[in-house]
Parts: sequence; structure tokens; C-alpha cells
Amino acid sequence: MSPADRREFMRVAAGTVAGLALLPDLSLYGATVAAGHTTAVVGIGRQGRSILSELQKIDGVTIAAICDLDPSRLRGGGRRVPQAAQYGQFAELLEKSPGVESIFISTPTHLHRELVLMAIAAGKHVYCEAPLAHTLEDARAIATAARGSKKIFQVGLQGRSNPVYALARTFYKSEAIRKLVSMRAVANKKTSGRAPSPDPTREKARNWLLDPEVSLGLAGEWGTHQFDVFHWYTDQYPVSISGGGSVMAWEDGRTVPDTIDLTLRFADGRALQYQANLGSSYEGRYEVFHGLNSAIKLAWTHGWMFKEADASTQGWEVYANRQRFHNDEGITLIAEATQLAAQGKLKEGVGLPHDSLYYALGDFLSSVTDGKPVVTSAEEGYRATVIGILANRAVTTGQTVTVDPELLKSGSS
Amino acid sequence: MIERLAICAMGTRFEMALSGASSPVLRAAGEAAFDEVLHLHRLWSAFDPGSLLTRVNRLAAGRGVAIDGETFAILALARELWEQTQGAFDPTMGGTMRALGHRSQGKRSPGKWAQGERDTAGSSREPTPSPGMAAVELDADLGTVRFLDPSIELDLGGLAKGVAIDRVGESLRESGVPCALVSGGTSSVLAIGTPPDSEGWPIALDADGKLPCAHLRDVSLGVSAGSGRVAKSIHGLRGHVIDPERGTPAPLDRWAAVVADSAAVADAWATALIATERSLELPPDFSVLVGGTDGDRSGAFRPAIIERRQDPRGVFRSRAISSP
Repeated sequence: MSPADRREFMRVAAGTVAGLALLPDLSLYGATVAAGHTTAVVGIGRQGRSILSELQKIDGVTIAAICDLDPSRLRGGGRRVPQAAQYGQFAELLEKSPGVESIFISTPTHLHRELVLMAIAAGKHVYCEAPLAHTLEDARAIATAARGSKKIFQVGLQGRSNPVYALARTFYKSEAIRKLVSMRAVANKKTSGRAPSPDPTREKARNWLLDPEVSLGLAGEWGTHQFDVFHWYTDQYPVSISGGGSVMAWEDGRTVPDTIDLTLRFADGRALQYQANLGSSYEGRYEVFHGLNSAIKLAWTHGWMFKEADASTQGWEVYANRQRFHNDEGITLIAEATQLAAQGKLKEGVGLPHDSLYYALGDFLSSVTDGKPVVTSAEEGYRATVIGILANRAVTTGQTVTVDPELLKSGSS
Repeated sequence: MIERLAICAMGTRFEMALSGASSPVLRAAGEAAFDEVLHLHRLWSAFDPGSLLTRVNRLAAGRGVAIDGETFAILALARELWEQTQGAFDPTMGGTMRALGHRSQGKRSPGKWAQGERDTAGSSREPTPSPGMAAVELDADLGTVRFLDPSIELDLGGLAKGVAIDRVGESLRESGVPCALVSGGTSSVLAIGTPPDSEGWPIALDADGKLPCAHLRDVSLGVSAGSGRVAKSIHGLRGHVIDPERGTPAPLDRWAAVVADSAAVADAWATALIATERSLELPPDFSVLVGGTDGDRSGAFRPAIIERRQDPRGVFRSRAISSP
């Protein structure tokens, strides 16, 4: 075998390792829900609008109806999906659009419970955004209802549907990092988090994220998604959570902290450090696993492995794509690498072509139309929600919160 | 109280200055408006392999592709402007742009389309006339777009930024912001109201002060220049504005400034005016200034305080109300 042949062989081999778990998900790229599917989206805020956009990339999906209590947001949704029927009340949607087979629920968190229960009672498949609820009681009610449903119920924890995250998890599970030492996650974005409301009567509803009565804050609304990545990788949930938060960026009368830090401690002694703020965009959002052999960094559309100098070389990584980060060099984790390597285009695979949401919606539709197992079940969504609620409790009280294992069972009283 | 915000999207920097009573209220309004820009960026980026536009370019030559209401609206507007400018504004020249080296930036890279790709990167093909929007079929009933000519590749770069700024204006007005200046990459500007103690937002058309300063109130300004974005080639620098009839870049020294009610319309006309050598019939409400070393091509621009007023029939129009 000539050196050139060997390089090509190793490159394709690298792709084979990287691509195994990914092809089913990425096949949604430009694909069709063959049987056709009629759906509705409830809650046309920022997340609801994103759902509309991603659904419209999937052939065979018809968005027949949209629903929001806020007329302005409903109009905004209508601009994106002009053919969809518009409803201000969910009950009216269920009554007047009986052909809708599934419901995407992207309302404020504290409104999920009633809508989920109504949708399940009406016999619909349900995709519910995470966190599931703002109280343990509501989260449990949702999980219980989902368990009793004969239809599909998926929770919007997108990490579990993300092809790069799935790929990185295969490395994590294959001992590529050897021994997990510590974990860290960050979520930074410069935004006031305040919504404009020219109508004073809608001010409170629009700014529910700043309402301490119903908001789970950064820990619950952002942290839940990131904490779940660690749950998924390590098969563990924290046993205690401590930390705090304060208003550092936007002193506009709010009481919900815009800057938080947390330590989630696990039974084996390992800890996850978490920081989030609304004042600086630097570093954005990512999760890191530090191991003896390597570290894995995940940033939603991208992922990298950083090998220690004394870690053994397996061969394939010699020809992998790399990116430089100051003193570190990351091996890019590339989804669908087999095909790209075969075409000599491995480098073109850096970064997912779609947002994580696209793959999560695709997983849900595959479950509904093709019987694919649910990727993120109500039980997993419930447990992640519990951790998010308790993390927010740690922030708001400034005290260490113990995670009672019984609490993680949705059937517990 | 002036609140300033900025984001990077559509390959450029959007900025806004908002005036009003309360900083938190202004910032919330500005952030919501910029969310719209980011949304449109994700839909229409020619560089993002996951954008709807990329999907349309990949599939629409073979079949009708379902598109959202906003994409349908921008394509309908593109067709209208293509007709009004007699083809001088042409958003169907993505392939030509790529061949001329204007598609190498950002996340999008030519080889990204792994399957069914239409990769012309680095090609040395001869310039060809564009079939234009006549070969783009929009079906309002089905909400689909289809290309009747397989060579078509949409590039909304000359229009998307203006549409985004128009959307920002709508959003700010919905949020009750009385006074704002919004710009996209310094070439598209929207003025809402006037700044405190002034009759209009003063906008300099050049850096050295040789050109008149426009004072804008409730209108948009679009500026296009052959040298606005260039790519290097063995033939020298090539501008990003392409003459659709010839398939070649417009002269680098040519530029145009257009004032109109809509930033999208102003942008498209500014592009059209430098793309073609032909004389175009301008809409009557426009203020236009066109220049270049090949001679003064128009004297129609009126440096003035410009506002949008409602005439007795209820029609909004731009007009000069005084000279500076």
C-alpha cells in the first residue's frame, strides 16, 4: 500500500468510526416524511417561531394551525405560515382543526401542563419543550399523562438528538477520555431577556421569564438542556446542587438573576461547574468533559476532542480535521464523516448543517410516522426538569439543595 | 436617552440607535427587532448549508419546493423589482457570483452539498446572460418555488438586508419606538422619526464630504457601489454587482444612492442602477444619485430633508421638504 493509499485508507477509516451512529439522523437532510403529516404549533414566541422554520424544511409536513394567546405573536406566526389556521385558544384549535395529528408545545414553561393534558386527552402526538414545567407537581402530572398516552410524547431536550453529540457520546463511551475527571458547562449571551410590550396588559405575560413566580431562571430554562447532556453521557444525576446568582448586567428592577454559577455534585464525587449570564456573549454555550486521556468539548453545532500528549494514538486521528484554540488543538468531531471522507470532503463536514432543533423535530416525526423509538421520553424529560427546578432553587435560596433520588421517579408522591 | 445595539448577520453588521424615554424598554424593542434579522439570516443565508435558501437552490431545479410565507414574499418582491428594473436587479445569479469568487466566505463552502450538489466553485466558465426571475415559478396556492432553468441559483444578497431592515422598522414601530436609525453594513439605512432637536437623521454619503449629506425622516436610503465587496482574480479585482445581461461585474468606481419608503426597494434599485449601462425608468417618488468616473449619470438626487407624508388620498410618499 502506497503512502497515498494508506492516507486515504486511514481517512476513510476515521470516517467510518465517526459516522456509524449518525446516518439515520442526518438522512433527514432534504428528506421527506413519506406518509405526510399534519401538525400544529402552540406558542409562537421565539422558540415557537424556530419550530415553524425548522418544520418547513421537512417535506411532507403540513403546519395546519398555530395558536397563541398574544394576537401580535399570532400575526407574526401567520406571516411565516400563511396557510395555517390561527387560534387564540388551544381548545378552539382542537375543536376546529381535527385533522391535526401532532402538537408542538412551545409556550411559556408554566403553561405546559394544561396544554399537554388537553393534547393527550384529544389523542394527539405531543412534542413538549423543556423544561416540562415550573413546578415538580406539574412536571409529574405531565409525565404521568404521557405515560398513559398511546401516542408519541417527546421532550425537547435537543442534545439527545444532536448528531455531533451522539457521535461524541460514542467516543465517551468507548473510553476515549479514559477516566472522567470533571465537567463544566457555560451559557453566555448578551441579551436583556426582556420582551417589548406596547400593550401594558400583556407586559407580565410577555415577560414571564423575569417573573420569579413562574420563571425557572437561567438554571431552569437554559441549564436543564445542558445538564441533561451530562445525565445522558454519564447515566447519573446529581445528588446535590449549590450556587447562587445576582443581577449584574441589567439593573432594571428585575429580581430574577441574570448571572449565576452552580456546582452540581454527583455521588462518585465528580462535579459539574455551571456558569450562565446575560451580560456577555463571550464563549457562548458549550459543555466540556475533562478526562485523563482527552477532553471533549461540545458546542451544539460543533464538537472537538482534545487529546493529551501521552494518550495513545489510534491511527485515524492522525488524518482528522483539526482546529486551533490558543495552546490547544482540537480534533473536529464530524457527523456523517464516512460519506464525506469517501468524497475527499471531510473538512466540509465541520459544523452541523442544521440547528439541533431540526434533528429533534426529525426524531419526533420519525417516531410518529415510522415507529422509531422515542429519543427523549417523558421520564427523561421529567428527571431533567426536576434537576432544573432544584438548580433554580439553589440559585434563588443560595443554599445547597439535596436531590432526593425518590424525587427523580415521576411516579413518586 | 439613546440606546445603541448591534449584531452581525447576513455577512454584515446591523446597528441601531433608538431614542425614547426608557433604556430597558428601548433595548427590549431593539433586541426583538434584531431577533427578526437573525431569523431571516437563518432563512436566506447563501453561505449556511442549513438555510432554506440553500435547500431551495439545491432542490428547486427539479421540483416545486415548499417555502414559508416570508420567503415567498421576498421572492415575489424580487420578481416585481426584476420587472420594474427591466432585469437590471436580478437575484438569480448565485452561480455567476460563485464563479466570480464571491462565495468563499462564511460558513457556507462550495463542497458542502454532499448529495445532488451543483458545485461551480472555481469554474472558469464564460460569463452568460441570466434567465432572470422569469425562470422562477412561484405557486401561491401550493406555497412553492420551482426553477424553470437549471442554471438558476438564487442569491438574495441585494435584497435580504433591505427586507430585514424593513422588518426591523415594523418591529420597532409595533413596539412603540418613536425614533430610530437602523443601518445594515453602512449601505442600507432606515430612519424612523427624527433625533432629538433635529429635523432629520443626517447621513453622509461619503467619507470626504464631497457629496451632499442627506437628512432622513421616515424613509430609507440604499447605497450600492461596484467596489462595495470585491474578489481577487487573475484578471484583478472583481466587484460583487453583476450586469445580468453580460454576466460581468459592474465597474468598481460606479455607485448609486436611492431614497425610498422601503429599504428593500431602495437597495434593489441602487444595485440595479450600477449593474446596467442602460437607462432605467425610475419610480416617480424616488430620490436618486448615481455617479462614477464614466460621467455623471443622473442629476435627479435632491440633497434635502426628506420625510414621508400622507397625501390627501392616504398614500404615503417621500418628498423633499427643504434644502439644507
